[in-house]
Amino acid sequence: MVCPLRAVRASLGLWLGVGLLAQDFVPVRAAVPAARPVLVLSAEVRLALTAGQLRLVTAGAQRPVGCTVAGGAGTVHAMAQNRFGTVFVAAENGLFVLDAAHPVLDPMDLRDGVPPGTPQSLLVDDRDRLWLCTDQAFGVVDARFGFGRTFAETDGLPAAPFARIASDGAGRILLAARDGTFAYTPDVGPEPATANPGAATARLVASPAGEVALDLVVHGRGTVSLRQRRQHDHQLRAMDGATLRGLRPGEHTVEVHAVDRDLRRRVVATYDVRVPLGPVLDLRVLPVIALAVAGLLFGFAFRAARAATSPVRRVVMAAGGSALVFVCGLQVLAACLGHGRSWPFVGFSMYTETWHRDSVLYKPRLQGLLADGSLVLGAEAETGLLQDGYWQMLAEVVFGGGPAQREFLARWNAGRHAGLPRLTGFRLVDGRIRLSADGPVDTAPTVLVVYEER
Amino acid sequence: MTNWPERSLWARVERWFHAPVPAVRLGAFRALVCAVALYDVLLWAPVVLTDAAAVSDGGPLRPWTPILLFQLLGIGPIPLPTAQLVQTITVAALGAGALGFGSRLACAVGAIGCLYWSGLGYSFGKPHHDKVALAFAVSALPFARVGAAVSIDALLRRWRGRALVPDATVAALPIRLTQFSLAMGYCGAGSAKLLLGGPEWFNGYTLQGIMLGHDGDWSRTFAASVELCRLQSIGVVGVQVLFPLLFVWPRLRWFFLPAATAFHLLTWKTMDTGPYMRLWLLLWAFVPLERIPGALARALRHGPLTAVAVLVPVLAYAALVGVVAANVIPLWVLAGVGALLVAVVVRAVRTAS
Repeated sequence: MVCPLRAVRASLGLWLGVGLLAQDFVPVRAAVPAARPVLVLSAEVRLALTAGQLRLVTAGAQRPVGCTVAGGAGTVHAMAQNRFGTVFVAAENGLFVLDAAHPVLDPMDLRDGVPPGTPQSLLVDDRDRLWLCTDQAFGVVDARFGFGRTFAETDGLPAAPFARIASDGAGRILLAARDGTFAYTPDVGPEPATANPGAATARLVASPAGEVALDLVVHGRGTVSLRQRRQHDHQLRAMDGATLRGLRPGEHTVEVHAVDRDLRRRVVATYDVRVPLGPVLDLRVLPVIALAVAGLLFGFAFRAARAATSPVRRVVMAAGGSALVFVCGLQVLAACLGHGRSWPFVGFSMYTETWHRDSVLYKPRLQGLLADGSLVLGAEAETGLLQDGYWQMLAEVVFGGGPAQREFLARWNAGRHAGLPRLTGFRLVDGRIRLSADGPVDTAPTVLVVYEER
Repeated sequence: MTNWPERSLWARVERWFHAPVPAVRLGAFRALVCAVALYDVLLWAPVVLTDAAAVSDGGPLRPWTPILLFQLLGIGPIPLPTAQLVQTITVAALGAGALGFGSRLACAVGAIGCLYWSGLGYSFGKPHHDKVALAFAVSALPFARVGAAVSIDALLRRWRGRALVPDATVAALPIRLTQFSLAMGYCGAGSAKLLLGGPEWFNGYTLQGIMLGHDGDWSRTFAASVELCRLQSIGVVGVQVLFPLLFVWPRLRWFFLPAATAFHLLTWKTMDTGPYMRLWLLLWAFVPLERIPGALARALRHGPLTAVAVLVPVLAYAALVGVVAANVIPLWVLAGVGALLVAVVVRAVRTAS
């Protein structure tokens, strides 16, 4: 079904449950317990929080934890560790991460929706969500994809300032606020879903600018937000309402993820989207333009050829000369336009991106898990992943769930040399390198997938 | 006859592209381009054949995002038997082109096969820049008398008593087009960094980021210092942007050709780009190849120190080419080609002496 732009209706359904709002944060008498001041990084190393400073403690010594940013982390208020070993730190200057292999504080990758203010307290739940409060806000962050959700008054949030959060051990989150302690119960009610399933798979034509509005109505707890993911892309990009944006010319399969207030996420629609080329580059127009230019060149060449030669020779010479100039002209044009798909007439916009001090480099890493718990790095030859299409293949491993991960592990094992031990699982991490004045620093990666055979 | 302004301009362009060069130079260039194209086809064979096998098996496929030419012509993925046939024809044609047997026809078939082969690989992946110049070089071969010398065709003509005079000249079109493409490539890449990246491109962190974005053997070493990266940035862009000066002052090849080759070898080690051999071998387009035996002969006559100073880098270069090519070309073929090349050079050096 093609959805003409003029006919689309952008509507985003909201399920606010106004009647329940007042009960989302329930006053309780219990005090919010203090966070643990010591975390275990490895068998030999512990991380201790004392007097607002983090220290690495080993059997014989202890030393302060360094930081990749010039101003440091400031006073550390709290820390929490997820099941992959990543430690999240709430500090005066923001949120930081580290792990056993990279014991240096580095700012978390955060894109949108993160609670504003100075982080005071945080906790990681069994769904790997990072709940946190700042002095002025409360919210939750998906550390894998770097987006979050800040609760508002309309969510029933009690008045700021907030001092501390903790789990009550029964699935509730305790929040110490100005007016006392409140308990919030996440994941109540159904996960986000679309109210018009008929619109959840469609074939759309976007504008040449790569935008298309969707006819999609979504229900979920709190104000549901939408995020788009192009197939073979590993990022969940925030949508502005119900409009897909930023698609390049070509054919795309785009998933729309609905995310509720508690960051429960579901794919609610999948679209095949065609983004036409601009009018000049349209494949129906481009040959016509090319023919016109070639004809013009031929005219010049024909006039320039010596009239004394035979007509056939004159035509051949003119054709050859105009073809040559045409090819060279196209090379120059392609260099200016910078479109790789027009190979061998290509542009040169590669490596023109700039990095700066404190920029982060991302490098996906595959680590195979052996039966004894040790890790081996995945080689291109084994995994079948070419550097060209790393995320093209890995994105589906990230988002495809158990079946895609099982299939990928089977493929990887099949690609391993017969003499090597079989892998029992794998980890896919997005490695991070921070560029600093003192040189590059490897920092805690974002763990995207941990898959183990059962 | 009226003298149109465009007639004069057009004539100058044509004169430049069709400038006469010794037939030996063009023949040697043909052999080089066909050999490089052959290496390229074999290098990409595992990728193209793996994708073709997946097509035959019904998937799963890597995403097919065809290059514009394929979109225009409606070309799609091919199954394994077709890919194997294309490979066989292309390899045979380029082999014949390298040896100079049925030169122009062989080069024409080889060029089509080579472009098609690359297009298949790039449509399943990402187009690269390392064989842009090769694509134009191999495509231009059939449009000049590439088999006039250094070829089996020439030997056959001599056998029939129709040999060219020793200093015969032919139109330089393939060499000139390759030079143009190479200069465009370098200058375009440098200019894009200047125009799109701006001054920030030279802050050191940018080159550090580019190198660390890859897992090259020397990435960490070369990216360790921001100051060093700053200097390298200036050097890289300087060589790229100023490369077309070769057309103004050809003797600058003594600087630009080694500099560009060193640049590719460094990016191989620091950025894991691969050896980029298809590009730096084509830099020989700027060298009067027919003069090499004479230059070697003079160096050998000049004394042992000069001989060593010349022979060591020449042999190191040849060894590097051999090591890189050995990844895809069987050793016995390389040994045969090497022996043939040595015999030809030794004979030419003796003649020049």
